[in-house]
Amino acid sequence: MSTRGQWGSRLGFIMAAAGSAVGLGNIWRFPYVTGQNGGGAFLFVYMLCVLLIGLPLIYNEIALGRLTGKNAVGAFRDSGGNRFWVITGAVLALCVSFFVLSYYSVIAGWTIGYIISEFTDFIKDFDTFISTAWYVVPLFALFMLVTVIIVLGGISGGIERASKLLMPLLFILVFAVMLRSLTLPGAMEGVKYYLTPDFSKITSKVILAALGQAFFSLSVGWGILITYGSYLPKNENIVTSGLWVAVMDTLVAVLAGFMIFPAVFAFGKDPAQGTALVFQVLPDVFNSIPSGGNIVGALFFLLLCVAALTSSISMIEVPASYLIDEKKWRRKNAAWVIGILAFIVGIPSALSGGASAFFTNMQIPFFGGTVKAGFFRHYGRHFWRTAHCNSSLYHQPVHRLGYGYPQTGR
Amino acid sequence: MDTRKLADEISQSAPFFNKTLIGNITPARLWIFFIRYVCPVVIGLVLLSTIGVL
Repeated sequence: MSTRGQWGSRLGFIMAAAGSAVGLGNIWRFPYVTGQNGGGAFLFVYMLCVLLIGLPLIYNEIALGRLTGKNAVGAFRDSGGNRFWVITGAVLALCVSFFVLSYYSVIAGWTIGYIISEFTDFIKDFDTFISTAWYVVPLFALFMLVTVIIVLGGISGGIERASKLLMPLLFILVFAVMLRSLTLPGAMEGVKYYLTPDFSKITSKVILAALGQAFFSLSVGWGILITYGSYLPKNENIVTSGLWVAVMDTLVAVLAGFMIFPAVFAFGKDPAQGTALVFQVLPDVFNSIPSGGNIVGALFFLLLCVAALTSSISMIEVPASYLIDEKKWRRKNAAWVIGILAFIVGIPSALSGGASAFFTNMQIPFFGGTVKAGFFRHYGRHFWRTAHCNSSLYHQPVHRLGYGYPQTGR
Repeated sequence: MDTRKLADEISQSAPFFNKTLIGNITPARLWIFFIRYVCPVVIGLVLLSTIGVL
């Protein structure tokens, strides 16, 4: 009889599951969505959504995992439902985790670059940085390597141990950056923007946005909680453990607003910039802090990196546990294969300035120029025929590094 | 899978899940109601909203 890994303690499970839920989205997306949709009023609606919809789904997934004692695919199969939905659920759980991991790690790699840049100032501007393959690809590889190494350690020795270290570190960093941000002159304007309830903004669209944010944030529907639930001992209380996961996830998201908006308002920046807020506006804000700005900046990006890491290990674990349970692979082989495949799949994303441009604007360094190709528009045999060279798009960043491609394309 | 099996799994380590609140309503029954009827409707609405139908 094969022995499956188990969480060594309830705290280990809560930290790992909360770590999976707490990610980049909590830190940049939640404060932004809250500020845009009525501040405190949105917060109230969001908490209702977490309580009434998110929490029951968390319990559902953990219970399904623990009852079957299997990975997401095995759990769906054992659920005995309609074959179509079983296959759909299983395939979606595997694919969503794997593909999100492939581009999520690219963005997580950027955070490592920004940590280094706080002390070396090598990132001059965001666009140049993310379009420079020599920066983003190694950073992406480094992040993926760390993720694989943690997963290699197994459930209690790898994921649990890392989560027990990283989650408290994440909270310490959140409080450190939040304190500095709240003590900046003019910070209270940001707090007012964030929390002043404006119930006139609560429309059906905003309620749907709150629901979407709750699903996005709590990691429900990915198979992660099914997988983590399958490692939960029978005597552990699912109700209180699940509640802790939801509370910790919401807490980090709410505190992130106290970290970001006071700093943004203190320096007169526009709070409605989404991703750009984190990677373009905030570095300027931190650098403008008279004393220790680079340290606050480095702490902030370390916080982002830690949040991303606790999520990425759960994304590898879903397909890895499938290979271990169903295909009888060794954990070591499963983790390496998933990590390497996700890295390969993520390379076009890394080369196209992140996930947003992946399907429409892939740029590959190619014989002295770049091939720029719409991934779906030119899919299949038409891909090579219609791909066209555009050296100018790629020249600026490589010249800045001193490598210098020839001026002509292929 | 029958949601009652999952409710039993939850109550195995949380006995209060089967404790009566008001009348014959228990947390387990409330949870089953949300999982069977509320969540599918809400998830459907969010999906329709995501693809721009709503």
